[in-house]
Amino acid sequence: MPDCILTMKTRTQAEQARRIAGELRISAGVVSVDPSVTKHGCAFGLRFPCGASGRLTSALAKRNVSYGEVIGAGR
Amino acid sequence: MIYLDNAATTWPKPPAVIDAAAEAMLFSGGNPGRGSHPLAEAAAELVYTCRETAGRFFGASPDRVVFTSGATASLNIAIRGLIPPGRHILYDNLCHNAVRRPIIAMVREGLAEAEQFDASGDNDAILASLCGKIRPNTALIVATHQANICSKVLPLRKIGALCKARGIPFVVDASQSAGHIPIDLDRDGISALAVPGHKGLYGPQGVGLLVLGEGVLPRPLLYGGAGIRSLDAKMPEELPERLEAGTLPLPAIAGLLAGIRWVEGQGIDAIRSRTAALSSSFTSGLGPRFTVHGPSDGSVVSFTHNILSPAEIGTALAEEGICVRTGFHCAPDAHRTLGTGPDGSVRVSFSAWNTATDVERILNVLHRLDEYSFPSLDFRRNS
Repeated sequence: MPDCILTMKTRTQAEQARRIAGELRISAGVVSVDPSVTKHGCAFGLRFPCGASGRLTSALAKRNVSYGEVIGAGR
Repeated sequence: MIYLDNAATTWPKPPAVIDAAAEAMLFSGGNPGRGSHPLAEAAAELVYTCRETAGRFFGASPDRVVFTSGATASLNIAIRGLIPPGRHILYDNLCHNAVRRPIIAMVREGLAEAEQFDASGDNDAILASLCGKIRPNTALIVATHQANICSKVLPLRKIGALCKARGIPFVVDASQSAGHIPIDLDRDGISALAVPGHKGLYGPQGVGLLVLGEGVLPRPLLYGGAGIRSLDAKMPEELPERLEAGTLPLPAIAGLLAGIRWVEGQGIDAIRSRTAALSSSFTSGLGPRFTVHGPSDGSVVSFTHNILSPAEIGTALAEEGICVRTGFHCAPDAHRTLGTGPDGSVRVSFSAWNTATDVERILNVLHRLDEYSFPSLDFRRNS
C-alpha cells in the first residue's frame, strides 16, 4: 500500500496525530515536509498508509487536531 | 545536611529525575521539533510525552502546555501577553516579585493600571475585596495560589468562577502549590497557570510550564525560531510553538516528566499531609519568644524571634548544616501584609523527603539559640 503524508501545522500536532494513529493501529511516523509544499518554510507531516486516510482524518477531526492536506505519494 | 528550603527549590531530586535528565542527554540528544532524524525524533517524542503528562496533571490538552524557563517567565508571558494596552490589572497583596515586578513595569511604561486586592483575610473577605476593586476596564486578575512565605491558600475556584462570570482572564501563580494542591484548569476557571518545574514537581531547575485554557492566546514575549513556518516573519499562531522561541531544555523537560510521575506515584494528598504534619509539629515546638506569621498548615512556615534577627538565625542554622531561607523571599508585599517586621522572617519549607527527625534537629538548634539570646539581650540593653 502506498504511503501518504498528512501535513500538520506544528510538530506538537504531528506528534498528537501520530499517537492517535497508534490508537487506531495505523502505522505512522512524523516526517519533515518539503518547504515547497507548505510555502511557509519548515513543516512537519505524518506519513501513513494511504488506505487509512479516511479513518485517520475523521479521528483527528473528532479530537479537534487540525491538519492540512493529504499528499498522495510517499516521499 | 538538613534541607528545609524547599519553597525555593526542592532538594534532593528523586533518583528517577536525575536518571531521566542524564538519559535524555545520552540517548535523545537531538533538538526537539527541529528536523526528523532519529535523535530529533526521540527528543520530540519525549517533549510531547511531558506535555501530555503535564496536561493531564493540570486538566489541559497537550497543545496548551507551553514550556518556559520557569514560573517567572510563564507569569511574564501571561501578564504581558494577555492584557490589552491601557487596561486595569488586579493582583493580590501576598504576591511574589514575579507577579509584582512585571505589573509595576507595565504601569510605569504606561501600558496598564494596577491595584491590589487584600488576600490576608478569610475566603469571603478575599472575595469581597476582589469584587470591590473590579472596574469596568479590569482586563486581568492575577492571584497567588499559595503564598511563598506561609501556607496561606487563596480560594482559587471561587476567584475563577468570579472571573468567568465577569469575562476577565484569570492568571494563577502556582509556584508554591503545584504538586501540593490539586489544580484543574477547567474546574478552577483558570486562563493561564504558571508553574515552576523545580519546586513541588521535583524536576530540575531551568524548566517551567505555562498551561493555558481553551481559547487563551497570549502575545509572545520572545521571538525567534519555532521549528515551523520558518519563511514567515511573524511567530506562528499555533500553540505551544507560538510561545516557545528557541531550543527547549530537553534534559530539564525529561527530568520534569519523571518528577511529575514521581509526584503522581506518591500522591499529592499524601505529600501534603506529610508536609502539613511536619509544619504543625515544628510550629508547636517553637518557644514563646518565636512568632509564626500567617497560616502554617501546609508546607511553609515563616517565623521571627523577638531578639534574634532572621539573618542571625539563618547563619546559625547554616553553621549546623540546616538550610533555611531568611529575609524577604522576593515577596515584599507579602511580608508587609503579614507584618513580619523590618528584617523579614526565617522561612522553613518542607518536602516529601523531610522527616520528624529533621524537625527535632532544627528545634534543638533554635532552642539553644533562644537560650543564648538572653545574655545578648542584656548586653544590648547595657551597651
